[in-house]
Amino acid sequence: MSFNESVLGKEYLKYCNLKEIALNTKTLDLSNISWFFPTCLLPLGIFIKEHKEIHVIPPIDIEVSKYFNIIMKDKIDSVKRSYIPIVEILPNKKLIEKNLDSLISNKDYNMGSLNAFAYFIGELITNIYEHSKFSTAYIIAQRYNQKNFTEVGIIDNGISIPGSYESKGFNFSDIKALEAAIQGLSTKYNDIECSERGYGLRTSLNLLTEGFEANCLIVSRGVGLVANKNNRFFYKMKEKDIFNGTLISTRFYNNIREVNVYAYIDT
Amino acid sequence: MFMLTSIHKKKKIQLAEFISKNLLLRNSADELFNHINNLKTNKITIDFDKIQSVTRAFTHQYLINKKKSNKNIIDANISPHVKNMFDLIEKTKPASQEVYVY
Repeated sequence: MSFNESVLGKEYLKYCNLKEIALNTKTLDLSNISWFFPTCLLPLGIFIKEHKEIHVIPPIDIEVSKYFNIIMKDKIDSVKRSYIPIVEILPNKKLIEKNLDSLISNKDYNMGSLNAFAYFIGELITNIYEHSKFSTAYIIAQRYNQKNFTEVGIIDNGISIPGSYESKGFNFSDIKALEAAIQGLSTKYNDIECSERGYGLRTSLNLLTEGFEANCLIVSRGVGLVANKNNRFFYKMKEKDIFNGTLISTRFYNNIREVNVYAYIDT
Repeated sequence: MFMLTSIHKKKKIQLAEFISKNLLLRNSADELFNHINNLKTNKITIDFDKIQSVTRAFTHQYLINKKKSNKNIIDANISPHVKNMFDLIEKTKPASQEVYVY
């Protein structure tokens, strides 16, 4: 399967195409966009914030434009505006869980298991804080009733998973780095307190694909991963499709059964 | 005399209020114990009432910080779900002291 044959991969490449045109023309033309899914919207939001020189033409569709404007705000106040399905994860901000409560507990998702859903969100955000050295990060959870799925995206503009390995002295290709992260490849370390760390991505991917039977996409610098219950495909991203940071996107379908999170946690 | 009274005073912290009903992040466990360790009281009850979910990362850091703290800390109202996570972390071996990069 090629990267753009997966629904999430296709959404990510939609962002890449918009970005490429914008870099060439200095104009990001979104006028004809009929809808955004988190997988496209999240990296687009970071791109726009990092390229203030680019002129943005907003979507013509009023509803789409409103949705788009949410992420374009300089500061998203998720507590006061809890109906917005996006939370900005701020560097150096402590005790952010209350900001996430409305997103996690939203009954629209019909996740079947609140504990498991909260678990993977918590573990992935912990990864961002501990490893990514980010300046901007978001999480969106959006239910699409007519399409019968929920899409959750978590993004940061940090050093990426391959960059994280590099910072620890590993000389991996980007694909090898992501494989290592998912397999839990480790290095000896003399701090016993650190011996628990690093389960987040591995456990979360297993929980998502096997427990929730969701589709997953990870893009981290020059590597992409498309995963579901049966398959995991790694891709070397083209130069124009590289993302300087990490995007983790997942699509949950209806009729999700209860998930016992402990079945997916390493011991 | 005042100090003696303070030291023996009890204090209860409702985690659902102090952090959230979802205990997710490792650094939140650190913030909790920054607060606890700066309290003048010695005996502190940490109340897990209304907690809906807890991650491995939070639990691990909570248990480390609790062990390090000089305070007399009592956990209260731990649900079976939270207890499962506590048990899982406590029974997990340090496993050759490995650290995962991601």
